[in-house]
Amino acid sequence: MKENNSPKVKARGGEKSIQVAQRFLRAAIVGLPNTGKSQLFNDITGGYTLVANYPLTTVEINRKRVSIRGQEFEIIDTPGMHSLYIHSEEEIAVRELLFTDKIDVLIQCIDANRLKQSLLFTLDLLELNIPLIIALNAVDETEQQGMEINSHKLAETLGVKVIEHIAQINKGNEEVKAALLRATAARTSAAAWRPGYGSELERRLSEIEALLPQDIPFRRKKALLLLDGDPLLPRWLEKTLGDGYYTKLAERLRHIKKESLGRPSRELAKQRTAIVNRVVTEVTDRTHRKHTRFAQDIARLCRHPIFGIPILIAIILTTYLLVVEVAGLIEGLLSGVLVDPLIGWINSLVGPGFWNDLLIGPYGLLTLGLFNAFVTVLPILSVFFLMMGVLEDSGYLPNLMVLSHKVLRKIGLSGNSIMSLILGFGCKTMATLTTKGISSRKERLIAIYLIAFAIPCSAQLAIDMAVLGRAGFKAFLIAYGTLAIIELAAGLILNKTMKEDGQSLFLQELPPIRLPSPRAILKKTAYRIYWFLKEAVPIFLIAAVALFVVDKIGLLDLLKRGLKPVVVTWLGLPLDIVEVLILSLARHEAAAGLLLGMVDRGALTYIQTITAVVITTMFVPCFANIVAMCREVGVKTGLIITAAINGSSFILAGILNWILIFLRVGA
Amino acid sequence: MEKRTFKEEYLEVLWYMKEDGNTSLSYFKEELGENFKAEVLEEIAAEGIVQLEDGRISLTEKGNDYTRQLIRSHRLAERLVHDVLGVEFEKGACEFEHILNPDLVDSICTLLGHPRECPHGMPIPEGECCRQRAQMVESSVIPLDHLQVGESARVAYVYGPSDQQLHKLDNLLVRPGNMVKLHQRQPSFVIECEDGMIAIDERVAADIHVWAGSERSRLLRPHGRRRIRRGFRHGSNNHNSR
Repeated sequence: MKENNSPKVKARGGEKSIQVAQRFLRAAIVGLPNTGKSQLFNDITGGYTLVANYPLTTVEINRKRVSIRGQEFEIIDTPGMHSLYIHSEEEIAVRELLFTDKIDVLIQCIDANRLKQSLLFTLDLLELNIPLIIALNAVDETEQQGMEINSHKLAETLGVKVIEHIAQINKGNEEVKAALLRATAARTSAAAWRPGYGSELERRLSEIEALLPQDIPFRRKKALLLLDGDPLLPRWLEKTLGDGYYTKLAERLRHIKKESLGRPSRELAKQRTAIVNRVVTEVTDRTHRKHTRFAQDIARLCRHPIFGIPILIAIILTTYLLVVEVAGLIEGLLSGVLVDPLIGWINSLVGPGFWNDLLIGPYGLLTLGLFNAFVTVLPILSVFFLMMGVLEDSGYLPNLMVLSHKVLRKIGLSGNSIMSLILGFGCKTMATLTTKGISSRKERLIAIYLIAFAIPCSAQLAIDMAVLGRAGFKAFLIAYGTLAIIELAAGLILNKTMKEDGQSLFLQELPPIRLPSPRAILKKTAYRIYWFLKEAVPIFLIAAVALFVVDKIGLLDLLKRGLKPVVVTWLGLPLDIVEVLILSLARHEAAAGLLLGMVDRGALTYIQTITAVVITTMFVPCFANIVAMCREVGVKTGLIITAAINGSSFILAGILNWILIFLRVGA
Repeated sequence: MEKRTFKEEYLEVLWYMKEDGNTSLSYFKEELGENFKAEVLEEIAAEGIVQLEDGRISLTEKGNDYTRQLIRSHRLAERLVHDVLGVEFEKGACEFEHILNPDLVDSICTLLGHPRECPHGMPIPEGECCRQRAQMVESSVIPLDHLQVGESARVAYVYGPSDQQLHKLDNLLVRPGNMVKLHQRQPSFVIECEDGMIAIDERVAADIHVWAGSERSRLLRPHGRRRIRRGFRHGSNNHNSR
């Protein structure tokens, strides 16, 4: 009998899932970080969630309903985890899901490059007694390296279905779907093999198991976790079973552990390794293993203390040239072919007056809204997203961690938090959510603050690059050099002033460098542009209307007059920048788009361009980012951070303005 | 059992109780079970090794130093037997711990690269040699950060200052018996283990201990099942005491 079918489940979500279980089946995709879970999710559901070649791409559990040959499924995509033994809150969500959500079938994604590591997790999953399907990814890569994995033998040894899945050529998708149907039809995984740990440990295990109530699901696995010393399970048991129960259990548990020889967790780990080693030896053939691995050499160069730096500079330069030159070229073409004739046509239709103003005036719907979004911003974002896709899928980004770790350690960051910071250049909101995995609260706060502070998100970075590109490469260097210095200084101050709470840990897996698939990158870019159109363009339009209205009723003037001393005298910027600052609240790329328009109109001087980019990068984390911060560190701290960032952005940008004037930069 | 070993067993139990912050005499008796003999207790109390006070028992300063050395040699012996000989220490270690010659114990400690935990994860008390980080000309076990770039070595043991570090390394298969290869030291350490690449800092690198020269000679590989002799309590564990 399947354990988790017990109707007495009191755990959260238990009852609800029983009622709906008749209508659809739940399939959860799990696996180590960066093993292709989201890719498989996309392939099965036909939808799209972001995929990339580094860990932490998925931070939230995603669900999507799909019908496979008449059977309704809910497919669940999960963030990566290494084992059911967990030590951080970040991973608890997935375990809770597996423990309480009544999953009907599990799909484990395995990266063939890391077979052993993955199989250790497989042992965990087999112990759950839920039908399991293994999707074996990247077998093409291991084959190239001369390592053969016999998937039939693997399936036979473990007693589960193993499917070779290669996303690039759509291999294995249909088989996974068929296996889903078969696995759930059987409703049991009786054939699957269960790992055993020798009489001594098994005895302890059954002793602990006997202490757990009959009706809780996954008793054996939970007993095993308790024996292993899982730090979070006791709290969970206390919550679900009541205080008194766990206290009694803890007393017995202490006794059992005391009687056992040494630390049971060590013994367990040893036995598991032995099991996995046995399986791997049986199913792999490494006789033709090649030792030269071209991709590895590239990876080595990327993180080399000397060669790594020029490579990084080359990447930044390439991105700059793409955004400024290539996107500029496209924009010029579009303007010539589309915009200019259209404006001429409208001018000939409606003469100067209200309608002309509304459509193509300075705050016109078309000029500020549509043209800005499609003709100016879209080409910039397209080339930038392409470049970003290449960097993400090649696995380059985590190597930056190796390069920057020594510097960033000085500001209290290491490992996971560096990765979060790097991801901040993609989307600051998502990056804020990835800080869940950082165990030190201090490090987490620093990371969250720095992500929200002087880092531009991808769309803003792209457009600001174009803005600075109008002024020249030097302006680009000054603006981003300043932001980097500000960021490091802020980190240094935070690190020095905040109370130490435990050593941070720098221990990070690096993904293999891969040749990105053009199809995957095009698809990703297309989706990013689609999301941009869906989410940002309406805001462009609403903003255009809103600014048009506040301008007409005179409110904008009032605001501008009030802010004049700060904006004009201190920051040295034209009053119109107030509109950009207002827009920053909603979406930074919309604000950057507006800024780009101003630069194109010739409304900003050299120094003003730099100051404007610097302040709009720092000023006001966008609304979504503020919400994410409040979620991660609490509303109060989140708002304090926001206020601190806003205050310092005005002060620092002003100082920059005066320094640039003093140095007569660009004069 | 001879009196001397009886006495040492008593002291071991007291040491574990000290690690747990426990001074209850009745607990002490219960732990020893049938091995408890009032005369032995009286004897060590008379020697000034333990102090007894209404229902409480604890080590005196003198007893503390003596026991510390005793525990140190016992746990080092376990490491030696487990890592070097790879055999069960049903018998080995219990004979071993009676060698209380500090110089010899320090030599073993240095040979093993000053391990900080016994194979069961219990702390090994520091010796003079650890404080001086003494190194033999040919230390057999060395921290990973002493390897040359490009060199491979077999992991002898992994020291874990935190459970998180231990588990993370374990998940990435950096564990005794597996081969690791050092790819670079600057600006961070990058190691390869079972086809996976891992970036770590020098602190973590110093916690991973490997067999020096294990690339060339595949000797001395820790393997096999181990058991410890009955009655020896590895009582305290980090998760639920205190």
